[in-house]
Amino acid sequence: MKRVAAILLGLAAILMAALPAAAREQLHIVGSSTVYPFSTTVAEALAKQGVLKSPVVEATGTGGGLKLFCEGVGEGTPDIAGASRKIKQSEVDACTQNGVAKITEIPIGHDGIVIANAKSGSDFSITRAQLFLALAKTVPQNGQLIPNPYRTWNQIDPSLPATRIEVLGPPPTSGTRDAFVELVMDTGCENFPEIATLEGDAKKAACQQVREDGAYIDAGENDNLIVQKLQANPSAFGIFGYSFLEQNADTLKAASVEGVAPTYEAISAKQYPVARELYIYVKDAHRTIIPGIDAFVRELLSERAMGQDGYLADKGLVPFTPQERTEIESRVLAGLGLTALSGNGGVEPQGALGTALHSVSGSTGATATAILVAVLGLSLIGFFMGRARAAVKAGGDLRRLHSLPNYHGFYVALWCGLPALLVALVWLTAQPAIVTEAAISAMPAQRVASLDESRLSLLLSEARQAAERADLSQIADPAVQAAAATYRSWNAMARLGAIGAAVALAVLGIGFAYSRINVEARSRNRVERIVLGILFACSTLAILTTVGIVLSLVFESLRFFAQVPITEFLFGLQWSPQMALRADQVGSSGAFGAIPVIAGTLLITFIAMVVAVPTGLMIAVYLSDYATSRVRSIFKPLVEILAGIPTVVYGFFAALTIGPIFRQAGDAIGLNVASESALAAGLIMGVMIIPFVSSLSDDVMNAVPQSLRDGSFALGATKSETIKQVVFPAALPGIVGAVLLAISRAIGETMIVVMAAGLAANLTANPLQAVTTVTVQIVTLLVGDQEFDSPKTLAAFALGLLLFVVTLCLNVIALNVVRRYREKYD
Amino acid sequence: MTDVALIGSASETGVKLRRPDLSEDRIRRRYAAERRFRLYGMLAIGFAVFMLGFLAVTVVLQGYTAFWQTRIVLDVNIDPAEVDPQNTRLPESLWQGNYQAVVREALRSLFPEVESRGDRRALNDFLSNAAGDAVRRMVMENPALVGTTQRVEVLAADEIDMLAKGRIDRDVPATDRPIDDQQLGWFDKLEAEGRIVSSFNLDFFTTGDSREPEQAGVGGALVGSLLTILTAIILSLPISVAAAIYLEEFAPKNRITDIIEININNLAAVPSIVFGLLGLAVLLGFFGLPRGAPLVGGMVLSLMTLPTIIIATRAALKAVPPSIREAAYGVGASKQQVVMHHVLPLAMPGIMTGAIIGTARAMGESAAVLMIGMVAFIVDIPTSITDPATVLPVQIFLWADAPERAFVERTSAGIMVMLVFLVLMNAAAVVIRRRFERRW
Repeated sequence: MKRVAAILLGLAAILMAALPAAAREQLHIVGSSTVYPFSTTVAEALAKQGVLKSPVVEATGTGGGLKLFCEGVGEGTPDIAGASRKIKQSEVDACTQNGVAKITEIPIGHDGIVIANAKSGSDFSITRAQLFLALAKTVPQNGQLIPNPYRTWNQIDPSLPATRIEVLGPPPTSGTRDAFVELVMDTGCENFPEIATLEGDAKKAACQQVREDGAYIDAGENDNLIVQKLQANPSAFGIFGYSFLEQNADTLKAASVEGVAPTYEAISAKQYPVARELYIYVKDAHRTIIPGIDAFVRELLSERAMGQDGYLADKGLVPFTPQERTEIESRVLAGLGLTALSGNGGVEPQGALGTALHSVSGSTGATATAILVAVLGLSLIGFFMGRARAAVKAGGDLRRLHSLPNYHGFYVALWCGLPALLVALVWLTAQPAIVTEAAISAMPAQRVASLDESRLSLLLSEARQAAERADLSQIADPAVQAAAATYRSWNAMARLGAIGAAVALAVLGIGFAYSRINVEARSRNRVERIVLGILFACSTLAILTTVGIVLSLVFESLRFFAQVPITEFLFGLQWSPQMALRADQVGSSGAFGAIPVIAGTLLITFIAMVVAVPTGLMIAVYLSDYATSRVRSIFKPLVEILAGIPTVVYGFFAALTIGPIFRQAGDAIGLNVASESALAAGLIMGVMIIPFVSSLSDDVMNAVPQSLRDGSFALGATKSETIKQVVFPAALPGIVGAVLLAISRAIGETMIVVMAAGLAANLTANPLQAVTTVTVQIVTLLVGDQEFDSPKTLAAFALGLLLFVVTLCLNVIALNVVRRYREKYD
Repeated sequence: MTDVALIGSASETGVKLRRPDLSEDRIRRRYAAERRFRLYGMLAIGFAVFMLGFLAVTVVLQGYTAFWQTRIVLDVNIDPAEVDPQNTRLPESLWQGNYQAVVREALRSLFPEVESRGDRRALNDFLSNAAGDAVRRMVMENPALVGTTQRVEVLAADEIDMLAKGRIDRDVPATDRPIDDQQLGWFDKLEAEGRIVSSFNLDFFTTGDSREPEQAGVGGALVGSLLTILTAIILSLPISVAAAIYLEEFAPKNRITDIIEININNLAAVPSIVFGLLGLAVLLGFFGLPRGAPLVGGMVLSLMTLPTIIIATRAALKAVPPSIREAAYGVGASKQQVVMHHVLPLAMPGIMTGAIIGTARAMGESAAVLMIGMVAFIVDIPTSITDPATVLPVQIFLWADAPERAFVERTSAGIMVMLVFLVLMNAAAVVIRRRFERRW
């Protein structure tokens, strides 16, 4: 007991020591998953040189990345965005509107978009017009636009193979998708007079809308998953960047477009028609507050990175010619007022700055640690003082005391620690806001008035950074200088104040409690009351958690239902949430009917239950009634291991091992099995759930009294008859409860379906088809770009609410079933 | 109306309707049914164990090679002109030397026939871009080595690593291989000279993530997991044990207690992704805590483990026999003294078992931490609980995402490392249970 407490305290101390400095030191990079490998490689090179802490890079898609990038200035927003297309005017406008006035554009190289399939599939040579016919939502026929009727490639052109049209491609958040639409769909549709004569939005819609009937599958930002799925499914095509093809040249091959195969040479010579430039955008305003942006840009532009033999070329980038690169380098650096990196090596002096930043002390975290250590130390002293005082008061005869000396000690310690820590907590929580107010008031008033909110916050973070760095007199902007000086002095004061207040309160507490110790003092009762209060407070955390879940889900869902009617959400048959991110983009229509998603969830859950319930029950029966204790001791833990394996492992097993096996088996007997079939995900989920069913039913069957079994045996029943006709019915309520809990678990399971189930919301009961689930949709909608006013993001919370309500109901029903029908044997 | 009663009445009517059939034939059928039933049980266990084995074998076969790393033995002439152009021999200047060039030169000297620029690039592809690090380390330790020729094992590039491990099919046409025929010839020559060596890949455990498979390690994710889990357990263990003590020992039978109990039971069944949503909306959105930090991850996971530990603690408290309590009351202990001094210490093994199992579950959790942004690419090993970090399961998720084929083995190896940790934690739980559990 004491040892456990000591260990916990020790661990807490280690963690407190790991508390950080406040300001952000790393670069924050977001954007296209195509540019992701290149920006991470540059980031890593910088970190290796010890120039600065390695940047945080997130792949959010070009659209999502630029959206985050343009949200404003300040530490909470990204510094750099990677884009697989040029920034759109609408995005520049959004940036300007949010106060991101100046951004620097850096072209980093070429990339081709390839249309590839597995080596085992058929060779393809295709035109953009054919691709348009295969993928558009509506196609021209006899002078009219009709919903795309093509199901196989040879229906479009007899020269193409007779395989089903199945294309895995990126979602609308992706720059690859934008570039594909622009380079293929827009060009392809020009070949048809019906569309070429259209104008404005009608033309745009006709050209850019991608079919939503399952032939084109939004495969998420994860290009590699597309590659793996193609290997598993020879008739499917994938759309992704050239670098992925290069890395997987031994298993994938690319279709020629307009007779040109996507090769390194063809892309860099701009002969391959579906090629584009990749870009990195830098927020100029952040260069003063986040160290390392300049270093990143210079490293990126240098010969060793972007050059013909640079390390980015090794990663699959098709680099610019040396002249182009030098031109870009000098142009960008001149724009930023920087000099080029010379030669192949050379660490910038910023390394010293980076380390200096590291060593800045006196942060809030350090203050909190200091207070905690001081107060705990004082409490400990108080404890011994109280105990000694009690012993003295008792005059050597401890029996005279009302409470044991230890209780007096605890009493003093509690009075010393609790108020001091509470006050310190409030103080440190309120401190940043107060200090910031002070810093604002230290700046010239008319300057503050002239700034909008994001400008002001940028200025303040600059001041905060400056306050932690060295010489304030070197700051050019007087407002920042004043604010930084305020930050420095007020923070120092506030931290000292916090420590002082806490220590003073602790000492006062000791004094007060110490003075109350005497023979009659009811210290035990007092301590016990406080302890009880703490225990109660801890137990209410469960309520707080539930309230927090309900409030956050309901609040965001209400915002969602304000935009999308709840009836459409609950009863709509179309789910296609990837709506346009920008006004000038044609995404899917943005339908939010959850029925296909719910149906998919139920299908996968049903398959999982078909696997898990009989298996789990039979395992429970065998282990509890048949197995010798030796067998039981071996197999019971073995089965339970299945429940302990992280779901991410099951996910990969299902996606990369079981899925392909099913697909091949299906091909062998002439069935068309989708590579993301509900069957594979459901089976693996069922395997995961087996132990839940088995151990819960094992418990309830064991709870059936032996006397019932004995009675059955006495009537001449065999063991299996006893189990089927006596034990099982008696345990039925418990088993029903177990199954309901397992169902709720299956519905809420996330990683397996994220990796192994599909993204397209098909309304089907065929387990060989791909379906999507509630949890998959939540993850797809929320990982990456988040925007708390788009129905797309809010839809995730509505789905979360649905998930929460359904699992809650199942759980309540399960508990009630068990309670109402439970046999009372005792 | 109960099921037992139903069966009872059914068999009563059955007795009236027909006479028991005691023929040999029926007995045989009944025994056959018995054997079948038993077989179903064995099949069910067989199925579960088979899936477990299949999964384990798949992961191990794909991943065991990641624990070995291919290196190339080179006689490196540590040229002062490259590593210390100013000739100062000061650590700062030595640190910045161009060791990659020195190593490339050493490799090139083995193939004097390589002249053209394209061929030299193809040869350079043999070396990882961190190949120079080994030489730098040697020189930093002993600056006197500058100017001498040393035999060094340098890191090979991931394609060479894959080739050496037999994971690249030599039979496919050269254009479709990451290694062309010329490089294959060079490789065979190096191998014949015994210059391709393979050693235990310690770096895999100590380095952070990398875009280069041969340099990527689970170190960063391990530390991230550790920080996250520590935060989670420090928050959740005291709180949930306190809550369990309150509910089991002190709570009055009233509405509030009922609500708390229902809440805890429900939280145990709430899908983890919902906890992630809570973290996203409340911890990140409302309180503005740093995105992707172990602090936030730990908080979310602690909420997730709360019900598990509470339920385990209550079970452990309940299992302490009344005689202990009565004896303690008998010697004049107060209710709290009974609980704190006698019941709780006796329940401790059960509580610890529950806590470890709950923590192990939290360690493998990815959906919840995915929601709060622990999915960034991070090279540095996190040093504090507010640094952005990833955890092991998410690292696995990320690696599976990388285009390089060599990451497949890293992914599987990462899974193995994670499973080893989980097995160790669960083994600790079992040991505690076996050693300290008391039967009353």
